[in-house]
Amino acid sequence: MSVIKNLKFKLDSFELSIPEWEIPDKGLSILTGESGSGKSTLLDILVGFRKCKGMSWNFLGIDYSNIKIEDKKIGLVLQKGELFPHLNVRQCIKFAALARDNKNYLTESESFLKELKLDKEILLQKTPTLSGGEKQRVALLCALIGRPKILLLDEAFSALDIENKESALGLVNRFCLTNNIPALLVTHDVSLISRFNSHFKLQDGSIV
Amino acid sequence: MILLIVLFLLSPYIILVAKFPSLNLINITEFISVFQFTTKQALLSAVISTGLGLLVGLSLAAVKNKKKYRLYELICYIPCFVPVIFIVFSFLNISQLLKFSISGLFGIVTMHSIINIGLVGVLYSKVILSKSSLSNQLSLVQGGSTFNYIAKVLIPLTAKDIMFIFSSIFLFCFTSFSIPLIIGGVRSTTLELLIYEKLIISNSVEQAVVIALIQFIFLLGIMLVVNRIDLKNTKLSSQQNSYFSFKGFLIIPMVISLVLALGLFINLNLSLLSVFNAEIILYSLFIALIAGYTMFMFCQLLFSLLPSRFLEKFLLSYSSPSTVLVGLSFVILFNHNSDIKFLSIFLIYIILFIPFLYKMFIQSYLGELIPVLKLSKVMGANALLKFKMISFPLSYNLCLFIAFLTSVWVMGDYAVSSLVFDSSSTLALSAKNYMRSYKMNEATNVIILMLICELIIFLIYKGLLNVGNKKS
Repeated sequence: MSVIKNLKFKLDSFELSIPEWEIPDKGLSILTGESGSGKSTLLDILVGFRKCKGMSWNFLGIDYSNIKIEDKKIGLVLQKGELFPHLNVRQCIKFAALARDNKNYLTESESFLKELKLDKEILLQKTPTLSGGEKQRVALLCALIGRPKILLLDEAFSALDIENKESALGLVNRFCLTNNIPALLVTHDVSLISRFNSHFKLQDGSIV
Repeated sequence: MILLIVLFLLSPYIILVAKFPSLNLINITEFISVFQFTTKQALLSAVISTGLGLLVGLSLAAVKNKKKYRLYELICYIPCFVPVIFIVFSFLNISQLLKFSISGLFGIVTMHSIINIGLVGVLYSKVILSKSSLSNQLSLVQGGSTFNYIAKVLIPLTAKDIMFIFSSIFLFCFTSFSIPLIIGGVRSTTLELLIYEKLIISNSVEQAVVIALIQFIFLLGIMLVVNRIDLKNTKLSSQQNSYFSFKGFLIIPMVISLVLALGLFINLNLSLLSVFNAEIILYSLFIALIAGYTMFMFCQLLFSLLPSRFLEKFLLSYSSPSTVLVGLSFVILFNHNSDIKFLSIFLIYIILFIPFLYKMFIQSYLGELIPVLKLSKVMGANALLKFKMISFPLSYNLCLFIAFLTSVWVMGDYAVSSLVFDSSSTLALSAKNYMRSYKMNEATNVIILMLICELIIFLIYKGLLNVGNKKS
């Protein structure tokens, strides 16, 4: 288990208060909550975009709240499938591989492309020309190419149709099992709960 | 590195405070009289610029077509972005043709107003467009007169923004140096000119430091009171500002730009072009291009250090000291070494230009850039990879544009360079000397050479832009 302690964050009238939260350090977990409940803020804190004084996050024996963002080895996929607007898909994948020194990225990306039902032609497409669903799948591919120690997914399947959602979820599941890492999906889509090993709910700034 | 940048930008203040001599060095009567004139000209300039600029802003906000809006915006910006020397020269030419004097208080206030009206117009139009609640407020007064709309909705809603614009223009005019240097006569000395005179003519650095510091404390008081405008939600919408549709005030920036262009070429005599000094031209071009290059490098350095909330906040709230104050601090620091003194001019330009350039161009671009830089950080990229693949290619065009503006301004600069260089070592300094002695034919000669140099600068940057875009 990875344990988060003393997470207190206040922004204007909104307040997040999580005295202790245990997240499995293997398998798939899901965090649900209504819009505006603070799910994305919580994810920002976990990634390190927002600072939270006094918080600790014990993951794999290290306090993850105290290390640099670039050293956390997080695989992050955001709702809009954020990618680099000046690069094509191939360059984005290359960047993800170079950033984490993955020399085997060509073979891996080929297999991920197949699993995500993406054509090879997409590699030469500039990212702003991709559809919402394609962006989310490419962002997931880039996150996996970085060989993360944890996957954080913020509404990462929201733009996918049922078939593509299934294949993306399947890939995430297999990747986590093979590499023995956890994934946390943050979403308001409660229909996905049954597909995950653990379920948490964020309500009024606290984990239920 | 961030700390070094902060220290560098604050260095003029630090140097002056470290050198602060005794207050009784200055002539209080002279200081008070100059202070009164400076305040008077700045107030008048700010009132006229803001008053007319607000009208222009109202009309500009009524333009709903995006392309037309951009065109009018460009016309409004022309007097603000063109080097001051061209504006002064143009209006001196026109005043000679129409046989009226443009010196002293009238001249200074006119020049300041000409430069700022368009800028105020654009800023105010963006304020109107960014107030998302405006359309809701508007619905409350549907059926009322235009006067009611302006008096009961628009002015109360934008009062703080108007105050900010007014204060900013006041500060700009209070610390304006290049205009009073040519237009101001013996009785029209501003504080900036007084510091310059003490430094260059009387060679009294101590007196200059005291005056500069008193001026700085006065300005700091104003800066701390002034609120900032938040223009994040600026967008053109057919619903917004539908109550005010009169576009007639746009005639003001159009006339200003037209008169400016006419004034430049009114005394054109191409035969005079045969008399020119190639060395001065090359030297001026060299200075302008190196200044642009250093600005490009500085901007790249800033982008490579982002995202950093501290740096972003610092640059947003940082106001550069006045031209003479920065010049003075570097002259104090490097007075004994002419080589370093020469190099210091490029640092002076960065300190002077970066606050304006940051607020005008860089800040609005960060909204797009920061999420991308954050993503690259999460992906684990080191500084070199982030710079090479993300921040450099993404910011190349913007940095090049900023470098281009810097080169254009430096080519026309006679204010900073008069503190560091000999009296006629650059084209702008020569033009200033001719204009101060009303030798307009000779000044025309130099101004045309400067325009040709500006064209060369444009072509060089266009080439660099094409090369960069092809490579990417």
